[in-house]
Amino acid sequence: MAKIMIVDDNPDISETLKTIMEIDNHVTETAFNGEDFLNKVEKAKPDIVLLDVMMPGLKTKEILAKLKEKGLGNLKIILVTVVRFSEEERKALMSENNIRDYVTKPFDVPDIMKRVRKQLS
Amino acid sequence: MTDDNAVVAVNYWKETRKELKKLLSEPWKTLLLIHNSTDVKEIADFIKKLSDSKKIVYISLTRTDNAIIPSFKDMDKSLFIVDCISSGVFEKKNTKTSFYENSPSTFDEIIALNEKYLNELKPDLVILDSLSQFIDFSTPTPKYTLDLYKYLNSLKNIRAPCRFILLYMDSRSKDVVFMPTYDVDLILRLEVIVEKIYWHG
Repeated sequence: MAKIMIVDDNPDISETLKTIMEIDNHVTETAFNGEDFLNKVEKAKPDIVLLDVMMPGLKTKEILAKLKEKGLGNLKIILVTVVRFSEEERKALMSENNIRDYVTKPFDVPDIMKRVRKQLS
Repeated sequence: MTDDNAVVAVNYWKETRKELKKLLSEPWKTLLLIHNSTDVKEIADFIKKLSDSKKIVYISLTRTDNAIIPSFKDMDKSLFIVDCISSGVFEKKNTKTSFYENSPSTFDEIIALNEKYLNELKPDLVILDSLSQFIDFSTPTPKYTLDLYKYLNSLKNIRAPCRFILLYMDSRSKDVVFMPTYDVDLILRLEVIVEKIYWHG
């Protein structure tokens, strides 16, 4: 059992991910934007963060920079997003920010479960 | 049909592959392209069929410019990308053909982006990728529906000789209960069928 933090401004997607993770016996915590996430993350101490890319408020690059400032640059992050990057951009984003995986919406339930388990193993 | 369901609209769908060029050459100003494609290549192939359009502005709310450009490489049209994704993730500077904007969060902001690039670049075609970032045709809220109508009306009132293609991604996981049938000139559904090819083993 691990603690998964779900960061998504869409309540439907957030609820869906929460349900999926709880079915897989994980404990969840949710945040609905970057500020909310940064306020909660230190106390929540998640094992993995499922992070949306385009949310109102703080930009993704600002969220990732503030995580590093907090000394949480090693936090395992899986991006869950509708955004499509080029292959080079995706590689750069992942290598520079400790992003462990990248899941595109609409996601496949068994696939996202598998990817989270893989990061925990 | 159960007792709870009622017919709310009747649409006639026609397979148009053979006559698509003819259909697209007819007069229209706004085209709603409902698609299930996760890859921009199929969208690019569709845009290439629009022989009348020579200068295109692609407003992207779902893909970075670098994710779009390779699919349009062999196109005999000028393409300008308004990338509303990259500024949130990367440090990029505007180029002659790529412009980086903050991601709009309302239809009013989309209208403003439209006006800005219509004035600056004077395109004959604007593509918005995609409406599904703002409205879900399966669960439309009154506010977003009204905002969509306002946006569609703003397009109708544009006097510049420019057409608009509005992409809407529909993965068909939910029933579509709303469609702005009377507020766009043409609705097309682009269906990409992906199957495992048996001869690949």
